[in-house]
Amino acid sequence: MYEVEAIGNMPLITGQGKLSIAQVNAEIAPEAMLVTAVVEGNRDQFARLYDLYAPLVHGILLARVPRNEVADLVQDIFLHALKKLHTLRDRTAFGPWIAMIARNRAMDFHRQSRETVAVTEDLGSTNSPGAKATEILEIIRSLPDAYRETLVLRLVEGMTGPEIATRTGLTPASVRVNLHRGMKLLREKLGFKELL
Amino acid sequence: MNDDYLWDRTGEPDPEIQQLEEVLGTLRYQPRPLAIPAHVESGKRQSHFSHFAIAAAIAVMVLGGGCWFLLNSRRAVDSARVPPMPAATAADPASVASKAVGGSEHVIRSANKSTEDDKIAQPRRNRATQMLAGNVSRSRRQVVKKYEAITGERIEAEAAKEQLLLALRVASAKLSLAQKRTQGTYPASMIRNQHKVG
Repeated sequence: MYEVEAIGNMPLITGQGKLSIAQVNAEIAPEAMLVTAVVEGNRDQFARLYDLYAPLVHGILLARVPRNEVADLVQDIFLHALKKLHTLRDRTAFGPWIAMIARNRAMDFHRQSRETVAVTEDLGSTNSPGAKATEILEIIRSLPDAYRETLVLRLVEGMTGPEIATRTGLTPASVRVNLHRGMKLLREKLGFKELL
Repeated sequence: MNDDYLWDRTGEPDPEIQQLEEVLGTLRYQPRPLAIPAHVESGKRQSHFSHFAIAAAIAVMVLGGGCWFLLNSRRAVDSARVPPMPAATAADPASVASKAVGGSEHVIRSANKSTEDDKIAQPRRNRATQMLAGNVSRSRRQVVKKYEAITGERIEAEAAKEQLLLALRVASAKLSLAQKRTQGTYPASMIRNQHKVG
């Protein structure tokens, strides 16, 4: 189950948090219109939703499942979402909804598949950028759920904190705490200068 | 430490985070068109289908209920036409008793033969017969009342039940008579006469 970090550090809730909530509301409104259009039969609008949320789903999956499975799972999740979109009651909550589908799908993947080692071309040369990236990703995956997902969305997918909060439905303060604590743990585990 | 750069890339850049971004950026999502198969339907169509399914289910239920109501009303009309009573129940009480008992008829006749010349026991037998006849007529009236009230099949079942009860009563009366004889409570003259007869 996905964990939301408790907000224990009040100074983190600043004016920026309020601003990002306003931004969230401004960004969600057109997405709700897209969802309504798709539910009413305009399937072309679903491509726009896919473009907006595919990086989020990709990041959530990358934090949980083997890298070579992620691309196919992203497609499956969006097809599933298209089928079940009419069940989404709050149409402004497409982001949190599809994020939850992605997390559940990742858990299903681990239930159904045996323990395997993903063999990729990057394993051959440990000095290549791909190998380094895979190594760091494995370290991030060893962190608690709430930290690893937020860190992957920030460092891999390049989303900012407010964007992560907007897309996932978490509060900006929670995201900020998760980023801060997750980054601290990552620095400790990396042995930063040695690895990079 | 100021984590503004980590939060929203504002403020002074953190070189470690920048390095991480650079390395991990190679794993970033690569845009790939979503291939939607033709058979995948969006939610709107599914909801239409579900509405249609619900409407069809309601229609089937209404039709089923209508058929059930029609069948029941026909049965009620058929049961209102009461068939004539069976001959057995219309006969006189004595004959009803003898017919109803069936196997016990023979017992009654043999008992009558065996005590035919017993003049002392005759009044008792007459009273017993009258009581039996009274019971029969009472039960017959009850049966007739029920017969008028309920449907034919149920009346037949009730009549059969009454007949069976009557047979049991007759058998019980005969058994009690035999018990009295064996216990000696019966008049000695009667026993003596029976020995003579036997």
